[in-house]
Amino acid sequence: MDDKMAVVGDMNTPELTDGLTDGLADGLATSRTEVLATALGRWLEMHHVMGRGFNTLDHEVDLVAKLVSTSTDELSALFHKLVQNAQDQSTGMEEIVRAASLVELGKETLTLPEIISYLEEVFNEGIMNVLQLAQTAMSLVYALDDVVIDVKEVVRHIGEIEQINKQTNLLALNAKIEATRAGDAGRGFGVVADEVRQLSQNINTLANTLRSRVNAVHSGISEGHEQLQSIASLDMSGNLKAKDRIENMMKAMVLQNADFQEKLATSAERSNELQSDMSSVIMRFQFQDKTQQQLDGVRMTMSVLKDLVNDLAQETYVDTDLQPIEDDSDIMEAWVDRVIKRCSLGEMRQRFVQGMLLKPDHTEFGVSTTIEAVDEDEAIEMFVETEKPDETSKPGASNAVADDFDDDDIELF
Amino acid sequence: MEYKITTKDNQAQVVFRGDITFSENVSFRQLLKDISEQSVTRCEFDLSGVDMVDSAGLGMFLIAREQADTAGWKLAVTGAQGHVASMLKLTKLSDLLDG
Repeated sequence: MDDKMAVVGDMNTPELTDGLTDGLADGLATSRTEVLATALGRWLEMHHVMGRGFNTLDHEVDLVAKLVSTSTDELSALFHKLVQNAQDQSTGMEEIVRAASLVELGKETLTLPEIISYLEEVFNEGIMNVLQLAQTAMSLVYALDDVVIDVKEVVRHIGEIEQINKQTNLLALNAKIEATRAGDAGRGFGVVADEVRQLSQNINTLANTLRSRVNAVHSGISEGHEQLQSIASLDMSGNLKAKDRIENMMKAMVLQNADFQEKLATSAERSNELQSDMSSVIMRFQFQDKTQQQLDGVRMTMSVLKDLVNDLAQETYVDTDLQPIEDDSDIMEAWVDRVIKRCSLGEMRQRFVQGMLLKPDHTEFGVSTTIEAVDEDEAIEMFVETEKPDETSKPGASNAVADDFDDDDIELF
Repeated sequence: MEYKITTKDNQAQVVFRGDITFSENVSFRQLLKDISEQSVTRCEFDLSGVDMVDSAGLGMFLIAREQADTAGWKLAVTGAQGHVASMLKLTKLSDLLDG
């Protein structure tokens, strides 16, 4: 072990070739053998490191695959939810619009146009009735006017009766006077004259009665005339304007309803667009399958390479007397340090270091100090590097992956 | 209410002035009588000078139309504006009186 440590400390790749040349120049078979043995020993070391390295990388690739898978599943679920919500909203809106355009009246459901035409009908009937009433009232007025004309005629005729009656009375008076002058011979005539005068009185009384009756009729007609006036003189303009305004309101409602329907149709269109966009998104998630396949390919290849190298190593151990390398923290640390000096590894750094340095039974080679030592250049100064050191990112990465490390990947000998 | 009748070729035109309301019913009746004394085939009521019509006025128009139907002449109402026009339109009488 110590020999190997010293050898490892003294050599790097360019000097190895020089060492070989020196060995050959010496011409000693044994020193050449020694050199080759040393070199072979280093290659076998390298095989071991690479084996661990492949395992670590395999694990990293697996993490990536899982990350992609989980993320796409989550995204997919969210998209589904999004589309569902949009559709629910659309359905809700549809229901609102439908309900807004209908009126429930007991067991009936009425549409706006139905309501409007009913209102129209009712209004028109009302107006027709009023007009009918007005026409009838005016006809009645004219009829009453005609009655008044007849009544006036009657009054005139009564006047004529009274005139004739006056004459009759005078005649009777004259007859009485003549009868008295005629003495006994005129006595009978005188009685008749008295009777005639009595009749005339009766007629006079009757004429007066008629006159007052006719006057009563006349005033009755006048009163009827007045009543008709109050019926017929309606100013309907207020009512009619209200009717007009209500009809306009209803028409505006119908227009608004049509507008809602249009917007609803647009919304339905958008919903469909959303649905097809969603399908496109789902399709794009197929990249996840491809990614998975490619990553599986990488892992498979790494596994094959690892097996090849391992097989060769086994053969070498069999053919030579060289001893298999056991997990030794100093050697492994040195190799790990070389890798880290060439690339920072980012977030993966801690997992890498742990993966490389864990014993098969998962105990650690004093891992905390090892990780810290990796940061400081002076801790492991076994190799002189020509490349510049990388900026060291803190190995205290968020992932505590010690538990995730599958030990079936650690194939030692 | 005042009116003036002019006739030409069996067509009469009556130009009104003032309001056609209940209180004018006697004049209106006289007008109808005047029209019936001339044999006309068509009579036009020009209402451009009329400011106000109440339901009695509308009733009287309907009576005039009835008389026209009976006597065999056509009644047309023209020139209505403002209040009078809206009354005729809203009661749909304008449709009825477009002979």
